[in-house]
Amino acid sequence: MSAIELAGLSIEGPRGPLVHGIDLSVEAGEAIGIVGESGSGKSLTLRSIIGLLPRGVRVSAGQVTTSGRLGMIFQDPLSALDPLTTVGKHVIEICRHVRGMSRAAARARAVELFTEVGLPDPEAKLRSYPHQLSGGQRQRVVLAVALAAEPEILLCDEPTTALDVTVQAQVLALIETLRRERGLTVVFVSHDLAVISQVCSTVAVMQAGRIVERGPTAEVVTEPRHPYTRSLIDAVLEVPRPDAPASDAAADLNAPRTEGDVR
Amino acid sequence: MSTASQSRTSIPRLEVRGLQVSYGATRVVHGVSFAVQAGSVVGVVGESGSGKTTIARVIAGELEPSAGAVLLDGHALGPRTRELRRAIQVVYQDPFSSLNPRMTVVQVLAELLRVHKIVPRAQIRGRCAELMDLVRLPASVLDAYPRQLSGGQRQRVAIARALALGPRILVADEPTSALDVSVQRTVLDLLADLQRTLGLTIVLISHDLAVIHRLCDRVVVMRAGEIVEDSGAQEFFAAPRSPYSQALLDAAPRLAGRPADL
Repeated sequence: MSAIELAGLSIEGPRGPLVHGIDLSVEAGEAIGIVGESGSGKSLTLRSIIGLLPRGVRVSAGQVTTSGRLGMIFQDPLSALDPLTTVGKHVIEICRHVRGMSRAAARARAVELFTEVGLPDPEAKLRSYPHQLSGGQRQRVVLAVALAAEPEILLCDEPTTALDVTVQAQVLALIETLRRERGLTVVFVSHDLAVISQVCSTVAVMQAGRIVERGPTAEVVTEPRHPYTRSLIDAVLEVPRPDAPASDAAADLNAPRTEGDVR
Repeated sequence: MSTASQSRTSIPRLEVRGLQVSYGATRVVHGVSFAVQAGSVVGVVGESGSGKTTIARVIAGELEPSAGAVLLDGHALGPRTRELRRAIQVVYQDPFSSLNPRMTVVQVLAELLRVHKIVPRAQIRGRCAELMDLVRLPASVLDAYPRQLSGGQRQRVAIARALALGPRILVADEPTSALDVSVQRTVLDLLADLQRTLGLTIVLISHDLAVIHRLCDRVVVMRAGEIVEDSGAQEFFAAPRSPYSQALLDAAPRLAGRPADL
């Protein structure tokens, strides 16, 4: 049974149509990527699933059907968190008000969720404010907030675009683990086909408000049928793989380092 | 990719020597040294907080180091004269915020050409058209305001503006990070072509190893304000010496399913 069903979905903005009658069905437990450039309608399509379209933009035709609770994570974790509220309280509030837990149970659940998303020292982190965390840690908090509502479907809007590459790799691996262990259905929107190919077994390619190709990621990447898909693949620059991997690379990543942007 | 002139024993075009930089009491760059030979492209790669953008700002003269020096053709740089500002040009990540929204492209370029007396007044319009040609934009772009251009077009205008002054060195700070992947490719191809045809010397700051691989002869890897590796690009991508470089290479997103040797 489908977790998400888009049937003839059209989206319209103040200046006219933006998405032109797309059909897409996503199976429960599947990870699907929607790839496209700015203006392709990929983010609007994702937002229409959870009813978060920007002001002045509306579904003009078609239907969105979902079965299962929805959670969403965004590109910029800082703007998704209240700067005056501790990150622990973000999670605790949802556990209490959405899941109806007692204060103590909600707090314990928050520690569990922080542990699950790989935040170091989860007990102490409950009292941190968003600005005290690094970008990667903030995105983990946003994931914990989304998971607090026990979603069955996780919508991801370019969640790693603002992160460093090593942190990006960790967050992508985390999303994959959560999908496998919780049986989450994942919809992952990105302009970067390489990132999507790391997480999603299926990919839909959007161009100018239409899905031009859809299929298993491995097939689409190796044998694209649509010229636009071909051009997206050609645009991905390859990073060579070194011949001799250094052995202690993984250990070194966990070494202390200066966090935060000094730009 | 151009052939680096590393075998030459001549004075490097640019040298960064023992650079230390602090923001208030916090030191963010701890004694960094590297050299850039004329006609080569050196990539400075690192994650946020590594100090790579700080170094770009020092080279550009926007920030004073607390110790160390930047040398251009062997001469230590002091306060920036008009000639020095002309010699070192910067292309920034976000072309929208680096272009004056109230000026058309031709106004921006003409002002620069006039102030720096690059060409006689009568030839300014013609030179502007040549610059559009150089960055492969139609001449019609000259009369556009930045908001009327796409991100890729704006970045081409920023490159044209930098090249208008015939710089001795071009500093490109994450020049394609704000662009879609497909547009990134075309801007990088343009930079590579310009580098080859004009013999440009470029310091490329980026977090993206794919970008570094496309353009650079040499790779300087920074972490927490220090250089952890300084290698030729071929050696770096074939067998990085530092475990941190290896970790960066491992984490780089690659198109799964595509043959690795493309």
